[in-house]
Order: sequence, then structure tokens, then C-alpha cells
Amino acid sequence: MVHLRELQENYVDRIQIVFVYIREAGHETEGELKKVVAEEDRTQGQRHSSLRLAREGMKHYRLSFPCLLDDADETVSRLYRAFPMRLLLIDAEGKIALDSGLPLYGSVPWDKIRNWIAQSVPAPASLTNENKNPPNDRRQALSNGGVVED
Amino acid sequence: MGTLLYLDIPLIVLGMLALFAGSRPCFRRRSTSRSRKPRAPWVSVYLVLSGVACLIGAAIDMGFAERERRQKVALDEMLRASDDGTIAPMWPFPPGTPAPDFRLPTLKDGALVSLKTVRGSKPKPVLLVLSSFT
Repeated sequence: MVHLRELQENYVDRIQIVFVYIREAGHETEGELKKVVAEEDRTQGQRHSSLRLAREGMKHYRLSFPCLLDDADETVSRLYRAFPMRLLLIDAEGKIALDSGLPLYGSVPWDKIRNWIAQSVPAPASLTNENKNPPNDRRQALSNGGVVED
Repeated sequence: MGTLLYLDIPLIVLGMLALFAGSRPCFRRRSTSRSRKPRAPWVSVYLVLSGVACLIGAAIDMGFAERERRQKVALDEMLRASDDGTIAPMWPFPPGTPAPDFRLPTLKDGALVSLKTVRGSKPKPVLLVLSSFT
């Protein structure tokens, strides 16, 4: 999630990050999320995913991009064979440019993702200096977690 | 199947012959003398062991061939399903593959959003993260 936040901060004007919350894998969490997981385990037991955990997670990791919820049939998770995690870079034409596959042992190719963005998506000249400090309206839109449309 | 034809069947035939010959008390010569010469015990043991070894070898090879066939069938099914868009491969999609579209509710307000909508009117690259917080 640290990598995601870093991508969000550095490439906010070059790419759109979309988080699809799929079935939870049951891995260890950190900080306040541990409490949430424990409460959800106590109250809901076996579950596909937790809406509350998704909300708290987005807040905890300070992720402001849109978060979509996969349905109980795991439609998107199955479509992309994503469980427990998968990252895909989709170019402006809607074609897959880079795919992590199913990362084994957490080996997500973050460097490849950064390199691809750096090489394939030129930073808008007028916005180069704004990457670290996005304008207020855009920051506001991002903080709402809504879909940002240009 | 090729392995079965070219290796296993000769092995099975050889093994059966060896077992048959090994289990016989003696060789019957074709000579006209009609003389029966007792065979040394080690020859019988050797023939029986050879026969058993041939049959075991054939069984192992058939097992491997069957496993390979099942793996191939499973792989073919997976690839066919991937081509249909039913299921994605475990390994990365080749670059240039159209990203399958979908519609899901947002966490914020539950409004249904498709991948196309998220990309916006002036499409820019999308980093699609499919994961959870546990």
C-alpha cells in the first residue's frame, strides 16, 4: 500500500488508479486495521469481504483513488483471476500494457510500473510542478474517493 | 499415446514373455532329439525379474504419459477459457490484450461504475489494482 500511495502522489496527473476490493485473503494487517478485522471476524465470521474494512483501509493508508467493490460472485476477481492480488496497467486505448500476473511471494513489479509510466505517459508540462501539490479542486475530488473525470 | 505405442506395448509384451518363460520349468528345444535339458534356476529368476521390471517400467511410463495428457488437457481448457474471456491466465496478459470491462459499485456511494467510465472522457492510462486489505 505504501507503493500505491507513492504512485498516487507522484503520478496523479498521469494515470488513474482504480482499486477493486476483492475477496479478502486473511493476511495479517497492521495498526488500527487489526482491530477492525478482529471485530468483523467476531460479528460477521466467514465473509467474502468487509465493507467496513475496505473503508477503514482506504482511510488508514490514505488512499484517495476510486475504490470499487467486487460482488459476492467475485465477477471481476474471476474475470482477471486476481485473488489474492493482481495489478494491471491499462493504456489510454483500453489495452493491457503491463500485467503483474499473480505475484508470487509479494513480488509486484513496482519498478516496471514506474518505468512504464515514466516512459509512456509524459508529464503534462503545465502540471509538472503540481504533481506533488495538486490543485485544490482536484485534491478535493480525490479526497472524496470519487471518480475523477477530466 | 505415442509413448504407449512405441515403448509401453513392447515392454508389456517383453515382460509377459519373460514371465511366461521364467515360469516354465524348462525350455523345450525344437530339435528333433526330444531331449529335455533342465534349466538352471538363476535363468528362471532372471527371466521373472526381467518380466516384472518390464511391466513396472511400462506402468510407470503409462502413469507419466497419463499425467502429461491430463496436464495438457487442463492447459488447453485454461487457454480456451482465456480466449473466451471466461477466465484470465495466471501468468501476465500479453501486452495489447483488450482489458475486459466490468461494472461495479463504488465504495463511496454504491453507484455502478464501469472501467470505461473510470477512464473518463479523455482516457488516460489506468492502474487497476485488484486486492484487499488482508
